Amino acid sequence: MATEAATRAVAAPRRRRRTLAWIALALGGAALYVHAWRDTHSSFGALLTGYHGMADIIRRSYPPSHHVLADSIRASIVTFDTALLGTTIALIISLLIAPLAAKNLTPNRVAYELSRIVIGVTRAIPDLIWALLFVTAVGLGPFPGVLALGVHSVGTLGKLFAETVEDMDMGPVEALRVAGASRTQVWLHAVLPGVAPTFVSLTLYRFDVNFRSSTTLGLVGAGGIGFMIYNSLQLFQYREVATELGVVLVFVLVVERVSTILRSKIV
Amino acid sequence: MRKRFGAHEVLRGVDATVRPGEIVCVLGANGSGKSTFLRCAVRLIEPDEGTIELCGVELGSVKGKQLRAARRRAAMVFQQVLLVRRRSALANVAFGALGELPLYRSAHEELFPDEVIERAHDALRRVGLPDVAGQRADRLSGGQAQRIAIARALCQRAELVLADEPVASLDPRAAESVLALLADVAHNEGLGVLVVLHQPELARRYSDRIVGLLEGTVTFDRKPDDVEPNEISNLYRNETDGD
Repeated sequence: MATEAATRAVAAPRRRRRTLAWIALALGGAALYVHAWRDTHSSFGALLTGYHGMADIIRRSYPPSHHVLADSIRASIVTFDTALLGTTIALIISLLIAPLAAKNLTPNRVAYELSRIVIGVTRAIPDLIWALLFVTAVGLGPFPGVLALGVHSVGTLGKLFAETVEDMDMGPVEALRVAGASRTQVWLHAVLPGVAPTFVSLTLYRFDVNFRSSTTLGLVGAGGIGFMIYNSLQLFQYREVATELGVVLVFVLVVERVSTILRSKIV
Repeated sequence: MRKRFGAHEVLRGVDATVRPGEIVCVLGANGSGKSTFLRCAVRLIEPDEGTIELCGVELGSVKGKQLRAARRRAAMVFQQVLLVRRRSALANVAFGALGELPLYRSAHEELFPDEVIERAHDALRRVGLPDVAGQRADRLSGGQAQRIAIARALCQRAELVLADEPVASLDPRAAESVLALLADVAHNEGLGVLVVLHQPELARRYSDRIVGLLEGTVTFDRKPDDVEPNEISNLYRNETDGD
């Protein structure tokens, strides 16, 4: 009985402290949301008045214009190509950078820190900003989009590849190292076969993301369907916008579906 | 050889020799430093003090390419079978020859020289598994996989095999066959074999010498017949007390 009383005496203050912590957490969370709402000038009133504007745009978008269908498909293929090349560039650079950025394989501290800086910088700057920079550097068109996606995706793919390598079973690596294999041979024969399914899956997912991103990049002059949508919006041609968005939607769904099927087959 | 991890000294002056054509078993309780000793022997872990002479090369004095060349003379067979799971048994055996191949002949299995592939087939025959060449490594049984690891050592043309509890995860029959193979490799191929084991009976039957390791020091290093049963039970005293 004495023990039970003592346990209760200890448990009661602990329960009170936990309750107070929960209340503080709830209040803190609420304050954060209130701040975010005010900071972004969010307003239910604006949402209600904006409803009429949106309804007007939808009404003016119907029926979609079939005149731009062929151009929309061609521009979407350009967007697809942009994503394909951008992702491939990122894949190649990430495959080179991952062994340096993985703690368990990196040859030395300097290589590790440098590769992590490259990954950090490329990821921290959004692809839209990269696109603006590359448009300034190499001019308008899809090529700056390819470069923007390629550079930004090094940050994400490189990081995910390095983390996959860090989590892998190091047994085969040790076994080949003892057999006198060089770093490159260890990478080719002990690391890649083990992580390849994950790498493929991550790359397909990244391609999926990049395809959607490359439609946005068109808005800043990096070509493709995004550039067409931007131009149609500028000219208030909402029926053309409807066709272009419809084509984008079909492409996104097909790319997403194919990449999901490929991922499930490979992994 | 001495090795310390933080405040804990794992190896306190371990001294051992393995000669060509000899199989030596290291016995010791968990934490006695057996695996650390094996890894230090090929500098997978850097020892703090001491010298390692591997087939006439002082390992402490070499690095880079020279270290890789020296390491090629030793092969390791691990407790967990360390094969590349998504590659064939034959490719895993041929990987033993990677250290002697230039990159352009080793970037892919298809580029391996015919001589290496033939040597890998030969190694598979020598370990009694010529029929599994095309099977993926992750479809082999535990005993078969350990035999493949030994075949890799043969393909490597190693002069010393270091085996870290190679039968720990095998059933008794497979364990016997793997140890018999290691003894055969030592006695008939002339390789030196150093095996870390937890089974004193197997050590007595298959080794030419037994080294007892207790808390990082060698307590005996003798022929199996000269080792007293109580010397072996002393090695595991603390483990039993702990239970």
